[in-house]
Amino acid sequence: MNWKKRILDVALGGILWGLYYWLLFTLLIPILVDKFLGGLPQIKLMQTEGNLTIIMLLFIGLSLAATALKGTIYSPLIRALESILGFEVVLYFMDGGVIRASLDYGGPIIIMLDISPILWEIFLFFTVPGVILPFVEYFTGREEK
Amino acid sequence: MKELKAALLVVGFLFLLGVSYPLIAFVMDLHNGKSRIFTRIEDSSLVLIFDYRGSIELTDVSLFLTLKGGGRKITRRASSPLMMNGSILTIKVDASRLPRKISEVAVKMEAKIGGIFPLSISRTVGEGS
Repeated sequence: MNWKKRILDVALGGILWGLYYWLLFTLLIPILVDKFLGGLPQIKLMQTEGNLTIIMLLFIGLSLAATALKGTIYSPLIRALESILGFEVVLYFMDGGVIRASLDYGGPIIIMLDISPILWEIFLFFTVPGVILPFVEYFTGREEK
Repeated sequence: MKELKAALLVVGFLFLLGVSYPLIAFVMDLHNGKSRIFTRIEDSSLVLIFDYRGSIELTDVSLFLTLKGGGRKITRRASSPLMMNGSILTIKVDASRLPRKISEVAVKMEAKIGGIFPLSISRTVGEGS
């Protein structure tokens, strides 16, 4: 076995997958929802730049492990964990789906908006496939062998 | 499998856009500031009016008015199952029933945007604000 090539494959695959999960759940979805709502949610991204790095490293670490363990049951398990973690990150950035904002229209007006239907949509279309598909891939791959 | 993942991602984002549409439109209307909640004196009654001007339907709309003063507190509520552009919801309180020396006025509106997203807007003026 060419170890250099194997290590390079694992490192490249791991980093790319980690960045994909990080971009999707930490940046793309929260920023899109924030933009959709005209900045009303005031998503915590700006206050948590340190956390963004930690989350990125966590996703890259998990993806490196999943890529290195490809072909074993641990790989889909870690991928599923990444999707669940991604949903947790979205939940964190969106305050659990309830947005509270104070607007000034000649005095403070308190607005509370429940955006949990959006979170359900994210769960259904991003998290559930992210949990199920790695296992489908793993078991169909085993049958083909 | 990769095609399935890519298709689900695209469908997911399209759905995200579709589900968010009532919210996007409502927030844009909100920033335009055409909808108003205001009070008026009519025939010795205090009338609270919610004049809705928006492109998205509001369902299960409730309007609350709370007045406090002189050791008394009165709360009035009006509701409507559906409000569309131009709909008006009012609460009328007879002046004789108003507390003396009103120290706090609280107005709250609850509704579901497009029948999906629960919303609550409130404002308190006076002691509790």
